[in-house]
Amino acid sequence: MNYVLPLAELIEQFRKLPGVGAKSAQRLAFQLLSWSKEDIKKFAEALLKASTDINYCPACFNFSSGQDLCGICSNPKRQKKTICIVAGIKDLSALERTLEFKGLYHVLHGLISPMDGISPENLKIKELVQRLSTQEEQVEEIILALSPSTEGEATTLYLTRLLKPLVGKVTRLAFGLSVGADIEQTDELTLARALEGRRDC
Amino acid sequence: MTQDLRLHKIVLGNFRNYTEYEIDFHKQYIFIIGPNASGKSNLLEAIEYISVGGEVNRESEKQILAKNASEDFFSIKANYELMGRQFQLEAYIGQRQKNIKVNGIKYRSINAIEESMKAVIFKSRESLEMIRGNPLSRRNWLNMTLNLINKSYEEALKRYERLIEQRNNLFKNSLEKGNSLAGIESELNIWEIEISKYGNFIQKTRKAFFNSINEDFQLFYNQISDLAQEKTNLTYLPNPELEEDILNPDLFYEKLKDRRKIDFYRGQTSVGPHRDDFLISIDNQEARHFSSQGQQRTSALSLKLIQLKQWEEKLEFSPILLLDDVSAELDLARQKALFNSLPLRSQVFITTTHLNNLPIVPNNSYQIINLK
Repeated sequence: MNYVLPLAELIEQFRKLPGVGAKSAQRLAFQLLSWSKEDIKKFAEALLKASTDINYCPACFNFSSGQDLCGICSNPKRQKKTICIVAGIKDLSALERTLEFKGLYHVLHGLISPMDGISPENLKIKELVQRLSTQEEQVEEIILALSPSTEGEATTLYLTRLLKPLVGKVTRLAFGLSVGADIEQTDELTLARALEGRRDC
Repeated sequence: MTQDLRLHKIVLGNFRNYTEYEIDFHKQYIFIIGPNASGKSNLLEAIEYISVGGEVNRESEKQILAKNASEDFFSIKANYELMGRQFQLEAYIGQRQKNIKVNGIKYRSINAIEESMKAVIFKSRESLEMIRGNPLSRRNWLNMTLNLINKSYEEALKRYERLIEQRNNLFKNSLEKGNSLAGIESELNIWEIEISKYGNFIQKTRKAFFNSINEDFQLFYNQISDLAQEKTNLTYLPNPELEEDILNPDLFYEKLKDRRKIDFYRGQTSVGPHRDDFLISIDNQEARHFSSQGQQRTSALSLKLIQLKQWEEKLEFSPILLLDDVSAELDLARQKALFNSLPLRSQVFITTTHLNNLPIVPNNSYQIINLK
């Protein structure tokens, strides 16, 4: 079907979004056309604002607005002695939801993976090393919170080697049983790892 | 009632020469008889397709679809019994989508089914290739056998293969960008440490496995060859070669490091368990080069019977055994001996061109299916 040019262009824009196929894009575009001019203006402004006003925090590379530190880095209640390293901002949000962690973060924006053309230089690793030497308060512990995938493990190993000489303590998340898991139902590999990472009661 | 696996019924649609076909199986031994090109092997292939342990190339789906099919998918439905429970499998396989259900529950693939059918397959030509051919076919058998009995092995193997791909890609990327080997050394170290960790686990598992099956191999071999007194041996050949019989991740890591220069320019990893092999010898002669066809077939069958025994021990039920055209390939004495050494609990499907020498199985335990 041939649409008038502006509509065809709008549909094409929606198709760039993940999980949006031709039909969904069409539906979304038609939906927008039924909105009032004012609502559309608000929508467009929100889009623009998000792209111009949201930046990365210059310290930890979490999202922040403007050129400022993010809400976590600028929060005086957060302990600056501990930095938790995550692969992406979604992981940071997940850890924040636990309400357990009171330190700061550092977002790598990826994991080392030659298959995807990602080498250590493409990640925020240089920035981390610099941060360690320039941050006012001395960092005492680094927690590596990367997923136990092949690439997560390799990146953990890379960072461990790099950071051990620089920081007193480098730790990583424990892997083991998930909460609510049945030992009987757990696969052997997870069990073996949980056994390996057991701790004193 | 049996605790073992029994296939009771299969219904095929657009599967090779079967546009519409339905057959019930109600015995432990099923003989499928018919002239060449009557669809004997196709019937076995259908069972193979819906079983874990099948060697059907999942990419050959287009070829499986019947030539005169009215739809663009083929279907296999099966009723089977396992550990006293009844299962109904439905698989609709097309170019664009797969729809697999067991007792109404949807699954991504046959391998994802919790209580799937398990089958050990012996096809004369392919199995002979396992003895004569390149190491890949022997590694495939080894991995298939071990993956099912050892989940940690399966996981380690997946990781290992991905790690090798990462190391190779690191080389390729660096070469493209004109980086030197020295420039990527710290990253390369990491991949190689991980590779040697998982590679070592894989090799230790394989070594222990070969130690544990050597006796059985001799036993099965003797049974099938009707007690011809031949001395067999399976020798595991890890890569890199063993020094003083030790599998050590540090040694493996050193070997990887030694190969960096060569591997860098090839974008490949030239050492490690992905190049392992094993050697079958009969009376101190390498079976691959020096044995007769009969000896090679007997060796291949013995390996399959080991797979069956190992799976049986792990699963606590007996997998199905599919024997495609064995009788055409083994001499009479070996055929008789083979049937005598068949596992007692497995359901066995056997194709053959004629039944002039019906093997010795108990009278009420077999069913004959005649295909035209």
